[in-house]
Amino acid sequence: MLERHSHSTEQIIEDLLRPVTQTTTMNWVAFIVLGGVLSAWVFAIGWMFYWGTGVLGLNRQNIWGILIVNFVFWIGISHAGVMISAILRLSQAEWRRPVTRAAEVMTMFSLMTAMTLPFIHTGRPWRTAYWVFPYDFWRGIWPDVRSALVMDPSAVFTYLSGTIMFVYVTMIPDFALLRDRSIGWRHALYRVLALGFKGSERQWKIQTISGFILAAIMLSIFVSVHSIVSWDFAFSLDPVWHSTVWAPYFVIGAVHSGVSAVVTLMALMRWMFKFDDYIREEHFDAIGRLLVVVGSTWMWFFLLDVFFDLWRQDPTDDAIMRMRFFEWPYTLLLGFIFIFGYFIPVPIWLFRRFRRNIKVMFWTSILVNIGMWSERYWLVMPGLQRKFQWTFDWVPYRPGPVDITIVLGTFALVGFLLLVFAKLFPPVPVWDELEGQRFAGEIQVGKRSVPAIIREF
Amino acid sequence: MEVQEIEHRELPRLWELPPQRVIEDGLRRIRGSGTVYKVMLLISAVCAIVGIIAFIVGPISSGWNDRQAWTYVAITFGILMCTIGSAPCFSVCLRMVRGHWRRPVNRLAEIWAIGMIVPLILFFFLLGILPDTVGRSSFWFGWPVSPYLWDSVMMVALVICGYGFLYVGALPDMAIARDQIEGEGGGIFTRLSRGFRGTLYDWQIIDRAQGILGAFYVLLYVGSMTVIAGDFIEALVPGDNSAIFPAQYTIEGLEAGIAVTIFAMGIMRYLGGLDEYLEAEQFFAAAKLQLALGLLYFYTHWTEFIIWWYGRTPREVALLKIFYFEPYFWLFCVAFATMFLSPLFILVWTRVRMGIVGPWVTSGLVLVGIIIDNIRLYSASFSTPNIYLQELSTIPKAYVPGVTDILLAVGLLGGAVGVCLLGFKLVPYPSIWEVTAGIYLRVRRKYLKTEVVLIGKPN
Repeated sequence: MLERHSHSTEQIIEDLLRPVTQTTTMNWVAFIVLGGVLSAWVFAIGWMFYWGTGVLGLNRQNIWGILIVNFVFWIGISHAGVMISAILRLSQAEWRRPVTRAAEVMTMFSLMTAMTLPFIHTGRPWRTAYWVFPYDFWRGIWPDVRSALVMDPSAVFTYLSGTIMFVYVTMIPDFALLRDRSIGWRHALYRVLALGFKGSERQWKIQTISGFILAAIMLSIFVSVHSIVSWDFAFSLDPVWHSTVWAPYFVIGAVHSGVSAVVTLMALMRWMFKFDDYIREEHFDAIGRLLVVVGSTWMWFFLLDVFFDLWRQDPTDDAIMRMRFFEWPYTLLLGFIFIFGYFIPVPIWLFRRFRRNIKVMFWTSILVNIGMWSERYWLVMPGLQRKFQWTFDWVPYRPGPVDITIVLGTFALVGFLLLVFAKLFPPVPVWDELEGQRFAGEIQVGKRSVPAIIREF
Repeated sequence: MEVQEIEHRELPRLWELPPQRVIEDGLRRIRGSGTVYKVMLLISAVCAIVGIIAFIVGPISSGWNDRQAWTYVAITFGILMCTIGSAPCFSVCLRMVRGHWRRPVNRLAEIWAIGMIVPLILFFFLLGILPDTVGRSSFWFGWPVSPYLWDSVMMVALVICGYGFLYVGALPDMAIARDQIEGEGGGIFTRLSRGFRGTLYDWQIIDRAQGILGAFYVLLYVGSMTVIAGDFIEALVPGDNSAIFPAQYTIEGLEAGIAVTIFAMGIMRYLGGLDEYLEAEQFFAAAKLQLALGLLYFYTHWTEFIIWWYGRTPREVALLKIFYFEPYFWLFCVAFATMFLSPLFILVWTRVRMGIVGPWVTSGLVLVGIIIDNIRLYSASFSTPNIYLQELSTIPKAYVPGVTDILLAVGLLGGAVGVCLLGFKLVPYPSIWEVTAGIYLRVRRKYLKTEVVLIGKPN
């Protein structure tokens, strides 16, 4: 925004379309590695479908394992797109410009990935299809529509469809740009997607207003989605799950992990696609300041949850909290949550020189997501493990190789989809960058020249 | 200054004012007081006297054994914490996002910190009715002298931080007052301005100090509201372990802080002659935040309600009854309507937000709502006879205030407002240095067929 280099329009277009037009060695390496992990993922899922869910580490008490933890994690990551794109678009923050598309697309692919998990974790998803449809009361099946497990697919599908619309609307001008600069199958693809966009005043007005309206709608959806996911657990009377704070706690945790994931993505995009002039230190500085607030709010909610689990001094709750604090592996995970999720990254982000250091921001964002994945495990599994009072049922959960492969495969899936996206469409909005260049200016205050931004009255 | 119209939109006059005019306006209240100000001060003084008498006649003479007699002291304390306590947090938030529209608003949000001495005094009296943590629900885990010591540390730190934050932000203006006001009137500013000369180093200190004190104020406010919600409300209701409640109470406070600032903006605009400083731009932007906090108010209430409703254990049913459905049902309805429905249905319309009356009326409704909500919460928590039970077995009847209670609340609230009014004699309003900086950082320029504003971003 204010540290931008002044490039010509043609230079900006050429730079930002470079990932679409060129494939570097690093791209190929990434494709091959991620493709390999994806293959293992597909194999693991196929293995589970063939042999049944017994190949997972699940047992009678622990009916949900790291697949559901991973589901919650990816839904959380998906919140970054709306947080950054919708809120910053509505508040007209200039620093959003290079970041929004990557965040929105990561939302889309994280959601799709998250949705595979409840689908496959039934073990026989084809059976899910024929008992779900038609989902009504004609066949004598009376689903409890008050259950959060019923609200959840509605919320997630609504969020996904809204996100797809949002991403699509904001990409139309870039589809038009690509249509005018491509030939062959690409030209045909972009022509269809561009919907005849010619850049007239009316079309720009509709595109801008649509973006604002969708941003406002998405905000309410994004809060509801992760709230409903939290209620999958909190509506039950399981000890330490049944807490009033879980909805906002999950939402703020999602924002914390999601925005950190956006930082990771920004750093990778800058390195892989040589976007040094477009994803600048000032963007990391701005997002770092946001993360300090978000991270601190998350820590407040985390402490509220912990303190109020101990508040009533109920023996069952106290026993589970002792397990969470003092038994393996929860002690280790608690350490990850505190240290990686907050006490390393947030103090570092307080200092401007570290916020402007891309490597520091990259590694701290990775640490945050390690902490946040651990947090989801720490939240979900203990309640299941000690759900009932019969001590013979208190069997620990040990994820097996199939569980772990499926979880790792989801990371590869998101990465792979992002790379494929970057090959087809510009990962940084070209029209947004061009607009930002137009809005940048300077004013003279006394002897100093101060960077400025154009605003309408 | 004449209002010009380009393309049928009114241009903000604030950014066209000459800096000398801003200095004169900023120092006007320090140099002299108008009739309206004197009348308001007099009313506040009378209220304060009445409030103190009612306080002595009522709760003090009842002693600390009768918790219910202190209900309206707690309510007054809660209202003040939610309104004047949280207004500086609004200022901190505006400084963090660095919008230009906030420049005439920041000082008005921060000046409420002067009144924090009143809730602090009430807090120390209320400690007497708070039981220690032995044998009851608490998050202090038997820490020594809990909850008295830790709650006190939090509150005292909050008040000191609030005064510090206000002082640091006003320091440059006090230096202007020192240089502009002659005679004895300027003497106090010589001491308060501490040799501020506006060097680069001086400004860097101000900038850093504001950042640190502002951040600490927000942290301390959140912490204080968390312990107040826990110790003064939840701990006194058997079976209440709602983890969202401290956040809910804090968010209500933040919403009320914005409301009290917008309300004050309206008063200053119409009665204080500051219509050139507090224009539609300021109300429009503040109203968006008011709406957002109103939605958060609903969200936090909904998350609590729905978990208790789904759980439906006897303990949770009792909590739903005491807080929502039985003795204080109508209070909850009024609070819900004023703190959520009115911001939603009034401020959701852009045309209404772009005006001044809509946001001002909504802020007034929110202030009514926060008063009602504090009555609901503290009346419920101070009515339970035995706080050592695991859950509520019978729902206590609604507490109906007596004349002493009402006089106490009205009096002390009026007194707190009076203390804040006195602050205008020491702290220039509007903020001269911030508004002047905003004027320098805005330039109008022709752009193609229209005219735009260039806003400087030196940071």
